Amino acid sequence: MPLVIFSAMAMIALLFFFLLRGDKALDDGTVIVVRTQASELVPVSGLPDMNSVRGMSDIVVLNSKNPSVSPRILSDKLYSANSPYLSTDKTSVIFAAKRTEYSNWQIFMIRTNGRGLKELSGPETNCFDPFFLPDQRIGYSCIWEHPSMGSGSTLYIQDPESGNTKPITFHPSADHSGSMLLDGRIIYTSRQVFPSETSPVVKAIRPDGTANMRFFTAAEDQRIHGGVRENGDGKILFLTSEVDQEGAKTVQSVSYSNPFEEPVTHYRTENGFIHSFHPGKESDLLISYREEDSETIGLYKLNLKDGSIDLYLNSPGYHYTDPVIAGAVQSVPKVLPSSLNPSMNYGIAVIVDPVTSYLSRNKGSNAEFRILVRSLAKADTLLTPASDGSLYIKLDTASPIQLSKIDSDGRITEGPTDWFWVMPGERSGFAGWNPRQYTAPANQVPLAINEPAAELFGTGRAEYVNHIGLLKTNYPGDEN
Amino acid sequence: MRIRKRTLLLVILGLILLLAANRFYNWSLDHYDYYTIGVIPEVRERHIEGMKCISCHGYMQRDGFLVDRYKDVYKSPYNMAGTTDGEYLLVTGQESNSLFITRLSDYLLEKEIPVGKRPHSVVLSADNRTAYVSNQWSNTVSVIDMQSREETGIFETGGGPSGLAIDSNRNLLYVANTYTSDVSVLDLSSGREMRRLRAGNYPTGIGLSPDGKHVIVVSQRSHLTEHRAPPKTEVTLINAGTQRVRERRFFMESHIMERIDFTPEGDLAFTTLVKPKNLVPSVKIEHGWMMTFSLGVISPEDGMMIQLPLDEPNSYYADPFDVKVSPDGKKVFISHSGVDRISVLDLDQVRKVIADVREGVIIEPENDLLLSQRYVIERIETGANPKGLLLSADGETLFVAERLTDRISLYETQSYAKTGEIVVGQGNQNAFLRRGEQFFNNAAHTFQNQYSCYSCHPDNHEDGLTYDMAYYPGTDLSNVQTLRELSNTSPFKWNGRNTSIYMQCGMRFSTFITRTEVFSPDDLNALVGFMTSRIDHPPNMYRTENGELTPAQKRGKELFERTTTNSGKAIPLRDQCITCHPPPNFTDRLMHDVGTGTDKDSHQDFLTPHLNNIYESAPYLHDGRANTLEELWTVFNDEDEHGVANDMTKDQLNDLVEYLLSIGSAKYYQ
Repeated sequence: MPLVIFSAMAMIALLFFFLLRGDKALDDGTVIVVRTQASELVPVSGLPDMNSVRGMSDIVVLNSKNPSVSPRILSDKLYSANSPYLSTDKTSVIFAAKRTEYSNWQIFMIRTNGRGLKELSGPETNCFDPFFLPDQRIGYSCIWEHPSMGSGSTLYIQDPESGNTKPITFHPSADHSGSMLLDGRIIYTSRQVFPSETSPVVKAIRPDGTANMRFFTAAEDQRIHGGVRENGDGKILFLTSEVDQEGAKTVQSVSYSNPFEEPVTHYRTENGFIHSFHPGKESDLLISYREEDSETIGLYKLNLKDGSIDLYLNSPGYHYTDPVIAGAVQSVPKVLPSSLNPSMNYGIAVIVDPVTSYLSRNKGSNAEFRILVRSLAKADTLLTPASDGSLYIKLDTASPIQLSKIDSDGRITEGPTDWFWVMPGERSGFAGWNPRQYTAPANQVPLAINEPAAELFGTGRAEYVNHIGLLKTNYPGDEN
Repeated sequence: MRIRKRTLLLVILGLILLLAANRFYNWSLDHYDYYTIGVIPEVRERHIEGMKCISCHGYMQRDGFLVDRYKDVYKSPYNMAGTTDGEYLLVTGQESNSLFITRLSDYLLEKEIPVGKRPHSVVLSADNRTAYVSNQWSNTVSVIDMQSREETGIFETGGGPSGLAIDSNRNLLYVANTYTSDVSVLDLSSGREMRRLRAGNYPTGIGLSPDGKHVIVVSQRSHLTEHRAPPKTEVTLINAGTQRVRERRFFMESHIMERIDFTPEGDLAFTTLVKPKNLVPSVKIEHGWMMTFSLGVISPEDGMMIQLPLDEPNSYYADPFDVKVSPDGKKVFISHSGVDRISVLDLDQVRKVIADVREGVIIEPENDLLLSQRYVIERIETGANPKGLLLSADGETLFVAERLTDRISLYETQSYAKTGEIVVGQGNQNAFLRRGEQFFNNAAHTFQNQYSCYSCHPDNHEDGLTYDMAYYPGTDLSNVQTLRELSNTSPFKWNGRNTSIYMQCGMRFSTFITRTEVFSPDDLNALVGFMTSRIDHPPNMYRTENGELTPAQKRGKELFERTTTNSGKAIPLRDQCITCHPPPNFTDRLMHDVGTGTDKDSHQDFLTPHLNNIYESAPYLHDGRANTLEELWTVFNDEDEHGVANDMTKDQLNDLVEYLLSIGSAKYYQ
């Protein structure tokens, strides 16, 4: 009898142990990848094409010792899946997937042991390109459409535990391919869609939606495919091609410290194309690449130092894309504090003309100019800066504006700036009107702050339709 | 059932203890909340996680066995000199008050020679027989005989001797006196000071041009300027032939120059600059919005002064300290003590950029964050807090004094590979308080390494500037305050909102100042421990050696403590100086409205500042409006709200100021 009792207690203890223990993290070096039947179409371009049938694809975990052995499938309950992103603790994967052939792309999360599949975004619109933040929140992009502005995509941040979801970009642009920089910001690719379409640029933003700014721009004759990723070596890696080429042809990098230096080309293919990549340890990269004479996209290890590539996995039956390597970048992105003040429905910005140092002032060289403000709702507004060219404005939250410098004849001499907005209580600012300028402000009191801020209210927000349910009542600051 | 008396007593005792424990628990929660969350409603959410009882009652105590067990003996190598034959390296130990002599053939530390307090710089005579060491806290220069390896003499200097330059041809030694803001010219044959020259504000670096024509002095602090005018820091040019100041120039919008070096041709001199953006509303940190760092280029002959950025758009190289030009004139090496890096610049490319600036091809280079890619060719990673640099005579080896790892590291100047190290101290470099000092001096806790605590608090003091940090630009301006001897002076900030240094450096600090991840509890404990227990005031040069007040200071003290006006009218208690400024820290730690607020301030009452070593904290008032102590009463006290002073004569005011200048460390008033 005592033996029976003892055995029962031991079994109960074991049961609790297995139930309560944390999930085992993936081993470093384990590769998660999207595997697609070779007969299915895979978009060549890295830009999201939500109307194409991307798969039927699965998220699979490759066997570290022998990648060609049957992998473990994580997304077998779903019709098609792609864009996996691994959590910093390596226990969860988020990805975009369709439940059925005709449903929208949605964001799902699953533990790396294959359990706990959870749908995180609603079905109202297509959502894609998910990524983890270091505090276990997630980010992703969702499509919006507008009768006059066209269509684009917005970045969202969600707490998967509570489901609390907020947009963090508010400009009429297509924002996608987000990932984390080690400094704690989100880096993403952005293309303005209104009032005119522009080439994609790479931007950075803090997770609370503040300090949105340009990070770098590809050369005029080049196009960035997909997103950019930072490796553990201070490099920002990305795929490019010439504007008229189909598919990415080169792997390039710029340094995090100075992304405006001439990019370094690590690998170039003339007739094949590179689909996607993931930074490996140190100088390695795992790329999804289709050689010219290959029917399928395989995985290859690229050495960034000498540009050599070695086959990792290629199979006649499948394409392997969107690789993720567990533990590749050892450093964890920083958790940035939020400076939002939810009780405020406005923010402020101070803009300085960079040519306002003591030299210019002594020469008295500041010519008269005015600032043209373009917004989504109001007619263009003209503002008069202070005599040193500075501007101090107060504006509605989440209401994007563009600024241009115009001369006395009404001609635009600089700008327009990128669309920018403020979050509740945000204090923003920049030096100069040229979005390509990278200038620190001169150490002078901006004369504009000696007067009350010019108020730019009612500049409007994009009333997006097919939103994921977050319409204007959920804009930041609207609670007050 | 009978209850035994003993059982009943135990139960009652247990209940009493439970009640007491519950009361104590509730009290300790309130006590903890006050010092972490504070009393201001809007900061109630931003409490400090991980604080323990020992955080305040151990780490924050300046003395006591808990802190003593974390104190260790460190050397903190600072500046260096080398014999011209390449055989010996001399290093000043800032904390050990000594000079180290190391044999370079085998890195053997031959001798540690006691010198004065806080040795700063060391130079050698041309024949390598004599070394001179400036002792910043002793107001002396030690004379070291290199043969006997002993201190054989002492020269008296001005206050706070730091940088040294030796003119061997004329047998003169130039000494930059930081605290008296002048330069002593010493005759080396007699040790006598033959001349004292006025320099900039807090001169620290001094160098003689290769042709022996110029002595250039660079200063740490800006001249006192009009309120809300940009800083301007003096570069003093001395005619070495006549030992007279021939010219005073300025680097605008810059300060904290520490050292200087010349090209071999002597046509250019270089120094390093900190470029604060204290006048720009601190709306963000990205794009150099709070602080940038530059190379200052001086042409001794034609008046040219150019500033070339050292930063990159997403990486900043905080707290540049020393600059050295290679003997072949091809490279410039700069130590960045805030990011543990050495920048290597291609001097030919620097010259090309200078030419572009002169010709107007580049306009106003100093804020162009893309410019440094033209001339910075390498960034060498070093140990903690690299300060002084030295190049070997052949230019092949760079010596780096890593102050907070007690080590001199050697690097090959072509490959930049580390080739050796000389350990000068055996203290535990990872000890609790040492780590706190490393955090204080390292910019890794600010976004993109843009600045360290040292950047606004050089030498653990203040930078003499006023910053625009409140939500609405131009309001609630904040004059930087010293961090010396903070223990028992809480609360903090001019609005008194931060009840402890934990709060000061906690969540709000990371949200609005450093703009990056908050300190971990362990790191915060170490930082606070360092700030409260390891930062001393330097000696007050207005105090006499034995602490006796001069006659003027005595009269001033009487005025400070007076209770009646000159006409015999009683001064209300609240208007007596000593009421709000009692010793030992000369602050009652309370908020008062003394009529010093303006319409730009959201509140009119301010926390009483402490007055220890107030002589070196100009400008004054919460917004830095008063350039001198005298102005506190002659310009900003019309209604006698900030002490009753309008009845004083000029002589009385002078005496009062003399007394205030003499107020030194709190330890003299315990």
